[in-house]
Amino acid sequence: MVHPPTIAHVHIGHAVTAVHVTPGHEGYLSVAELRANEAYAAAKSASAADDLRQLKAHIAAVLDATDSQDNFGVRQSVTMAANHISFAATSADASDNVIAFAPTFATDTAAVVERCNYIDLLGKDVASSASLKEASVFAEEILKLARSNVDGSDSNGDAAGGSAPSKYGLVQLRAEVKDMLSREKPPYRTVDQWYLFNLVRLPNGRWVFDKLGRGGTIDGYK
Amino acid sequence: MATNRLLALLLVGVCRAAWPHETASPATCQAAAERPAIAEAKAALDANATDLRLRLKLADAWGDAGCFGDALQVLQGGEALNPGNKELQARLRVAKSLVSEQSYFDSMDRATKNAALSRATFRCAKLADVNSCDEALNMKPDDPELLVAKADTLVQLKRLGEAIIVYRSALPESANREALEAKIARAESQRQTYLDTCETQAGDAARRACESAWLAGAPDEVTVFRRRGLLLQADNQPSPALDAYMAAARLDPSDRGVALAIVSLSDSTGRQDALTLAARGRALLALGRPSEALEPLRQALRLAPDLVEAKNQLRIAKETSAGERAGRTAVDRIGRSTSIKTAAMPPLPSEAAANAGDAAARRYSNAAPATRSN
Repeated sequence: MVHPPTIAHVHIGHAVTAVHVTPGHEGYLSVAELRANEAYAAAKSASAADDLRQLKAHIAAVLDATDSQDNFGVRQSVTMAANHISFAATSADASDNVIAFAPTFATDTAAVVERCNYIDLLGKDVASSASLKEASVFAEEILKLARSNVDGSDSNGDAAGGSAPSKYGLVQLRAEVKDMLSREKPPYRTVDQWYLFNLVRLPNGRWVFDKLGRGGTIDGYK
Repeated sequence: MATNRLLALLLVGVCRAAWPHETASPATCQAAAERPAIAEAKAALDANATDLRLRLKLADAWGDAGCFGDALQVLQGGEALNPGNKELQARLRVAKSLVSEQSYFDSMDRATKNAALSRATFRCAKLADVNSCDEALNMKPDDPELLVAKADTLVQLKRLGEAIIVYRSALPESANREALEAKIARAESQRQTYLDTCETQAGDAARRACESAWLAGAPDEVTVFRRRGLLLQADNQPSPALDAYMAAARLDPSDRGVALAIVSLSDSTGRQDALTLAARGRALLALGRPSEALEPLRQALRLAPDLVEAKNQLRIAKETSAGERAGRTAVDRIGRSTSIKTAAMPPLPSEAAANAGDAAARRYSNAAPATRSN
């Protein structure tokens, strides 16, 4: 007999495996990784550009991948991943492991969020710049930040990036989640998509699976 | 930031229906203890500490006030008395989550502020944007690294005097005094070069050199302003020249050359703002013409009644010109009776005369020095 997953694990599944609202139904952390890599690629193109118009176009792509409410930018996706892990921690069936991990993970996302905010500000500087030389200075900084969002920062001269939470990128955040999942008892198993897409919250605050399989679109749950 | 809060508040909405979203400050929570809902619930629980219903009511009262830490403490106090109670465990989970969320919100707030600080610091250091240096220092006042970055920027902008002041302000907290002192020495040496150019050359280069050499509080500050005024005047820029002379006069009110320039340029520019009128009044006093100083000082005070210095100058001008009139009357009387032509009487000794140095103190006399004739 197959047991349904715990509610806590379904919430975690939204962070790491799949959720019905994202492009390709990817989990929020996966979307954040995907978008961070897109931002890094666009930043590389921007720093190689020898024309202001091109540079601006590439930086606009960096901004879209980094901070976009409508298109699941890195900032929005990583925040949603943290939120869903927090949802897991407040579920009645959450393990102590999940309860202890959720606030730490949420706080550890701050480095990525801060870089996203910084990229956003510098991106606006690029958009208003009239000089290729000046815009290139900004583009170089944006490139460093975009890379750090993927691999972690080594701004203090450490050989390896992400040696502390203040330097974390998505690689380190993913590793943190993986470690947490490896400690789960009973073990965490990838949650079936049906459960992931049909978790709903009742008016009394309880989480249940929608037996009619309406795809999690009720009650505004994302 | 707003987005972060909105997204994170989703969590609050999910796990808690009744409590407000905003966490109250510790001071607010301290004051909230006096609220009837909390005070009464606390009194009831104190009277019957084993009653879980009363405990939950007190926790709710704290939660309603946004004091989640206090709510958590109340709930934790019931754990030993109610082991395994599901409702209590659920409430505890939510309360712990809300307390930890506050730390999350704080970290998101810091992320927003740090990003703005990073951007300002970057623009300061990489683009020599001194406004960004100031912006960064507003966010992190007295930070030695930022102060040095600002001073480096000022050096790049050839504002050596200002740079030296900022370098010096970084010294007390500097982690590397030796390096900083070397920077100061370099800036001082460069400033000296600019000062020489300011004092000895002419034209744009000299004017720019004066700007670079200006160091507030330095003994040569008045020289720099006076020289700047002269160069601007020579370049037919009367209004900025007047500003420079006014700055010089504030530092050395007794300089007759500066006073004459202020009187002349305030005439030619026709400037009628309070500060110019006050400066003109002070210059006329310095030149020993107190009765002429009265009107511009009165006008200055009409425009800016709080100009303390103009008030003092006006008082002095009134006293001095009254004495001058009295002196004239006496001289006229004597003159009429004796037919002796006499030069204008000097102003009476006063604070203005003391400040105005030789200009006000000069007496006309037939006794000429050996090298001069009258």
